Amino acid sequence: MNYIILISTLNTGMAYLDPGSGSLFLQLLFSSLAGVGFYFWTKLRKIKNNIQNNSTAIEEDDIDDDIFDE
Amino acid sequence: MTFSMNNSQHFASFRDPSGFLFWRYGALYRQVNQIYSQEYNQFIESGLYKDLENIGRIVVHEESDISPIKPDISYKVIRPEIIPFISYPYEWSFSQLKEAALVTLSIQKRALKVGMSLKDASAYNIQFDQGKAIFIDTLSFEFYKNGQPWVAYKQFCQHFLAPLALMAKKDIRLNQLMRIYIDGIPLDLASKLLPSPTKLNLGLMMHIHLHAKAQMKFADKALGISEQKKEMSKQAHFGLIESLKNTIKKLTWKPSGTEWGNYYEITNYTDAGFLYKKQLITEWIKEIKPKQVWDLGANNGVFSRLASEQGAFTVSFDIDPAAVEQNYRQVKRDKEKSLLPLILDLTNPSSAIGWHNRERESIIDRAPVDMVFALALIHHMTISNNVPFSQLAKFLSVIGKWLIIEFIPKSDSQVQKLLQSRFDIFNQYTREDFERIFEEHYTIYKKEKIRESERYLYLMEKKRYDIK
Repeated sequence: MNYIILISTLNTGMAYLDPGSGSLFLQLLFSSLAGVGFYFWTKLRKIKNNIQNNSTAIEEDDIDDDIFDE
Repeated sequence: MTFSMNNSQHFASFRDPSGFLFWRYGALYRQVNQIYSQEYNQFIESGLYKDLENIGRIVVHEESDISPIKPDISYKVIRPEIIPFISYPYEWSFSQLKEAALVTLSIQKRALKVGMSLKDASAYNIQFDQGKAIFIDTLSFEFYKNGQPWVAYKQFCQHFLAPLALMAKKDIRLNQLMRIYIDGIPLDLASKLLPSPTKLNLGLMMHIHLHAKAQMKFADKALGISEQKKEMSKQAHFGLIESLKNTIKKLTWKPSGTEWGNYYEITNYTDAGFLYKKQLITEWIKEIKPKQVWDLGANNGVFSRLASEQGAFTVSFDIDPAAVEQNYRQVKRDKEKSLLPLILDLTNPSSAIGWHNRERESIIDRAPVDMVFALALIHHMTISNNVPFSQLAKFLSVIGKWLIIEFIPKSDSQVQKLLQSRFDIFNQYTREDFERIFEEHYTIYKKEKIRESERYLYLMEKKRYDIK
């Protein structure tokens, strides 16, 4: 019953995938412990990188640069 | 690819109530159901579809006015572009799976920015087209609701993070677990298989080890009231995506010391012989003009490129993950658009799996193609794996119309190497028997001795009565 209440907070219209209670719990844990901190840490690192590279932040597809470690 | 089905729902498209794929007169369409109309409109009107199209990371579609297959529930019909070859995660190299994972995360991030979210994160929603990973499920987006955790988080970890971590930290061959676990590698299994030091890796500790424990803890019970009242902010959601992205970026694997990684450095061809072989294959491709080629045992794709450079979409199969990895790195480096390297064990090729054994197609289901290459392959099949010529000829004739095949005699040093460790039971391994048996399925059009070698190259066409 409790689980049904939780699921009702999700978009139920198209929710055909079982998210798993454990996965939901872990995300909530992440959210309260580390999520925001990690987000700002990443932002700071990005700003630092941009300054070092003297480049402007653009919303490009940079996936190809992230695949290989060369 | 199965074009013969007419007006029928695609076998793999039945789980999502938002819509489904169907075939009509050889073309593929997607019915968008009324229940998904608002999400579809938001996907288009928010600019998300255009954004993903601009970066070349989504299958392009156009709206169609053909009649839907289920009109009573239909909202629209769209026609996606055909992907030349459908491949599966257990056929991808490390970098291909890594790219697929990063594309999925990038799309989720872009979706969140316009108030949407991926409702699933299956690796099967990614295909390779024009030399890059693209997202193919147009109906995977739902409205993002404030406070909502990511529904597809578990699926993402099972489909992408767990196999990548196992490949990078344990053994590259563990991607084959994806053949058994169609909805991704269970996290408790991944956690058990991963080496203990991965528990010191913050990302892997969180998204695999702790995740597995949380799943076990809540396997048969619901979250408590206090957990239910908690929400996950959008910023935390972005943080989760960044954390997954950084964990994946740090997972690396470099090919070294495997079976075929340096094959072309240890062949017995002279330079003139190797060049002559390339010249013959190039001439024959120009003559036949195949649109799609499969190169079996392609190694790092040297001969595949003779076909792809002439415009044939070429799938470059090899059993060795190192060779396929090298091949894909070259595709990315040179921005090649007509070559797709994939992992395939010819003695146990990908079978049909999933619901009704029809969700994911076998290799044979994805045939036939115009032309097949079997270069420096026959001795491995016949002598190392005891596959007789008759079986090999039959299989090859099922998967392609034209065949370029190389015969390597017993006197060849590479065959001698294979025979060193075993008793020679291969009395029928002669050029005469090879030709006689292959002529049961093929007409031999051309036969050339490769210069400065004892090897022969053949161009054959499948006989017309030889049906699939």
